[in-house]
Amino acid sequence: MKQYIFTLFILMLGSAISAQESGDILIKNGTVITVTNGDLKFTDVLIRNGKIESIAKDIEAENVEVIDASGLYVMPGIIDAHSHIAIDAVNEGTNPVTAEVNVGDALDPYDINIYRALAGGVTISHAMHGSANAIGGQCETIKHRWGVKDPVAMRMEDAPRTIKFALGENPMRVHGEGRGIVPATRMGVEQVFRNAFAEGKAYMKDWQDYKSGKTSVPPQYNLRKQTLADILTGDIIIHCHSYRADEILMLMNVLEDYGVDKICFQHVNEGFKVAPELAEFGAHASVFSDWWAYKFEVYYSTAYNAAILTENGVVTSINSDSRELIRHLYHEAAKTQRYGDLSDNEALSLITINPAIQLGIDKRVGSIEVGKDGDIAIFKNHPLSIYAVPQYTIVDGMVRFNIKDDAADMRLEVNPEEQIPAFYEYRAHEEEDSCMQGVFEQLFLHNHQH
Amino acid sequence: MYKTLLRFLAIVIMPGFLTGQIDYDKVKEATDILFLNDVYVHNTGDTTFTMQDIIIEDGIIKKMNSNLEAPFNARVLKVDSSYVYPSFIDMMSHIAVKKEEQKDPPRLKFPGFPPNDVAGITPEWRLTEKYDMKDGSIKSYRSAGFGMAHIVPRGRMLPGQSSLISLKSKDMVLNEGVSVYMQFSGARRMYPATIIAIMAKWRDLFRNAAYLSEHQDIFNANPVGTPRPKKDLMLESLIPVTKKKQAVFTKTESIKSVFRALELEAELDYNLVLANAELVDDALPKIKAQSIPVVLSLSLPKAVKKEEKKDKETKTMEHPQKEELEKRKEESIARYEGQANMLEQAGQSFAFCTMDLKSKDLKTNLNRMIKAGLSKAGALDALTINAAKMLEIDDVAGSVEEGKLAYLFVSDKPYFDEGAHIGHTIVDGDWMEHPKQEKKKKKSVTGNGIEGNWSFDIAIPEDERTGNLTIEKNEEDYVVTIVDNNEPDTEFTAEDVSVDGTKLTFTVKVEDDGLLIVNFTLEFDGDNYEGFISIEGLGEFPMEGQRISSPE
Repeated sequence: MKQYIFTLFILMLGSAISAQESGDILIKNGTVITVTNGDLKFTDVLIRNGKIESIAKDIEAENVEVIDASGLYVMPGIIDAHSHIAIDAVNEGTNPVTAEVNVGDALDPYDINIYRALAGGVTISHAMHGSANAIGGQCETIKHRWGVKDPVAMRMEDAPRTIKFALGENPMRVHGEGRGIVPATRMGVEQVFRNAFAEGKAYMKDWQDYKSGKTSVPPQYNLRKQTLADILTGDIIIHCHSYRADEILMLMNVLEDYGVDKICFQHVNEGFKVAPELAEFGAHASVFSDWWAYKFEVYYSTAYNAAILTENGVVTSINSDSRELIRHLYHEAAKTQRYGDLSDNEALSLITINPAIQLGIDKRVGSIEVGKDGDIAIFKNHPLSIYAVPQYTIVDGMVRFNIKDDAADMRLEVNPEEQIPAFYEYRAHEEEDSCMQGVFEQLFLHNHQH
Repeated sequence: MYKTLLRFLAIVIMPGFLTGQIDYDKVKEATDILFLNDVYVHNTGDTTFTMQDIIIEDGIIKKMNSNLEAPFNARVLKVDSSYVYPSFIDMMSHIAVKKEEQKDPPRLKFPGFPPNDVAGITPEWRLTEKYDMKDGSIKSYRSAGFGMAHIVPRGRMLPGQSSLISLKSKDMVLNEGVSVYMQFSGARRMYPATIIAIMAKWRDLFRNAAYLSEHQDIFNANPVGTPRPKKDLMLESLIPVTKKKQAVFTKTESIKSVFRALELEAELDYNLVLANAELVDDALPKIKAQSIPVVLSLSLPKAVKKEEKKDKETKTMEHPQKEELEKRKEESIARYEGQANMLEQAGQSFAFCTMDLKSKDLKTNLNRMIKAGLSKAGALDALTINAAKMLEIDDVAGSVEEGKLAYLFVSDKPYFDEGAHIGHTIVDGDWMEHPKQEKKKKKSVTGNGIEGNWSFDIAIPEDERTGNLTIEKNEEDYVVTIVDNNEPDTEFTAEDVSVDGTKLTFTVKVEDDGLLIVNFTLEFDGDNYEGFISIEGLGEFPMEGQRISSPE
């Protein structure tokens, strides 16, 4: 009997992997904030097989889970264009260019911060490499399918590839100050990009020559150069850590020289100074609402940044870069109404459709439209109200967060030998800029030679 | 990462390992022929036996049937009516691999381009010159029933190739270059430092090896006018991997590393073996779909001891969340214990390895797995024939059959019976007796309070620590001193000693190439205590002990 149950369990396990990922839900009678098509009162949303099947009043459907959203606000799942949750490695800070590494290889489906983000209505985040290197690693757009154990199943299928670039103090500090190599200055950072692109271009040519029969033996394979070549051919969207206006212009010039046009600037605190230039280039901007002055290059900042960029026609989003801020991005978006008078729809676009555009996934998510993914956040009170409280968060038609079913310990697993220590271990690095996670261990492990 | 730190701690900070030794000066036996009379031979695949006589000659099971005469020149082992099993095969460990001194990595100008050997990328290295025939674990694993071990080098990402050895003191090596060993452990302070760089590096190396092979083929077919292929021993050593002629044993303790290894295999297509795996359940559909062999770790998380019934009063004082956590921990332990059974039920063949196991825990852990549903026959198969099949030596090893190599052990009772003792082992025809040692009866000492002399046992993987802990009361203050059996001459005096009822906490500072701060948290109960030590940045390790004496 026991064996039989176990076999059954295994069979269920096998089917669970495929079946667990999408579901059917009918959300009744809510105020549906579509983002792309206004607000629809007393409206139902039907999700079938993880996709939005219809948006209408009084939908009748059988065999679906029904959520009564009377008096509640139904909005598209929030998207965070910059975070470092759910990954086991953030920085491979050992070289100024590490285009070949991919944080998608280090996904951690057990990270409790996924659940906490869901509790803030966030259904998708852009898990990014850190900013230690001028050209850091590739990033991964993940769906917050909390409960799914296979890291691969966290990935948003078919989301375009993205890569982290970084300007300014971080790469200068790690490589210039830390090791005495390029880049020690902002000029050096530019040269790192130019050299890398030149190498990528030459590499592409070598392979074209081999494949077309011009050369007789394969050139040396190099995953790093291959990735750089993929950026040049437009297969990868650049997401660049940036603060100062001069450097932002610099990178746009470099990209223009190499014919690369897919770029989203991250942080971009001085974006307000070059908003028309960003708009003209077609560059996007993903900013903090009001976080600055944590290092020298981030002093010249304003809480009007998002509003100014938006008014200038730059596709702008508000991101978290933090396991804490990711839990209330709706507050962060609301700040643009205090600083910049953005409309409700403009403010909510900053955390829904705009980050979706920046990640190249706006055909699938970012608004409530028929045919899009069933990623929904349901709020008590308007999401831009300070009294807003997320009630349900749905990913692909599966309820992944329900405030009524929110036990004290929601971890997927515990360490079987976990001890509760008698003292509190202060982990200073956890309080730091999460873009620099892991770097200092790689720089100064064991020997403190500065 | 965590485990790597443990190992680092075990090797660097606490050197000195328990060593038992084989008798090397043993006089040559008068005869190499062995005769076993009327023994019950284990039948592979179940738990039944067949009564047999066995003649072993030249390291081979020469003859085996129910009525043989002892050859005139044979040594007749007095094992009448005992139980004979094929020797266990350890699918992955560092038995008999020299421990190397861990040095701080050199400080490189360009850590992004370290030399391969400095970065731990040496798949071309073999274990030649690195065997330690005096390693005490040869004997301890042999007396536990093991006869053969597939051993892997120590190091980082790609430390080298494995060997197959016999657990005996001479002519130990059966084969070198059996497989390539890979770990997700990064280089220190240089590329590849993190898991993401290791994954990228493997793709890069693999494809480079494949292209090198392609280049070699082009060159060999037509050398005139063709640029010559680069001579690169490291990459060349990976060509058999790209051609699926050599397996890659990948150390995958965590379920996340299992998934990562599976992804690399799915992408590149090679013979992956998931080795030293502790959890595989969630990945089973993929393991089956990709037909990947599994080597489970024989080590298990420490079992929860049945606590004595506490009276209700003390129970209500426990925080409900703490109780909930205890429950979750038990479930988690049960999950680890149930892995072998789960694989068996799913029809997924698997073997075992001893990499993180203390040999004395072997049977305890097997019994825990059996209690969780694994069949005894399944456990024995995993230790014998399954392993032989995985190593592709099942034609000559993995069972006791006529013509096969003489790897077997003799137990006085069926292996899993209470108190069963392995009295004789025959490894590659080499016979050894393991007399039953009478267990020293522990003097039961009782006393009150925490003062007195106590034993301790700290469970650090690969390096269990034992010694004495002395607690004295000096007027109002407690004085705690510690002596580690590995360094009996050094006495550590604790600082920041604090006693709260039955709870004792203190700190010991160890000078060892830098200051190591060890925090102790111990809970005393009568003549026993339990707790853990915590080392900043390295984690926690369970500690327990018994009262040895009370103050006079």
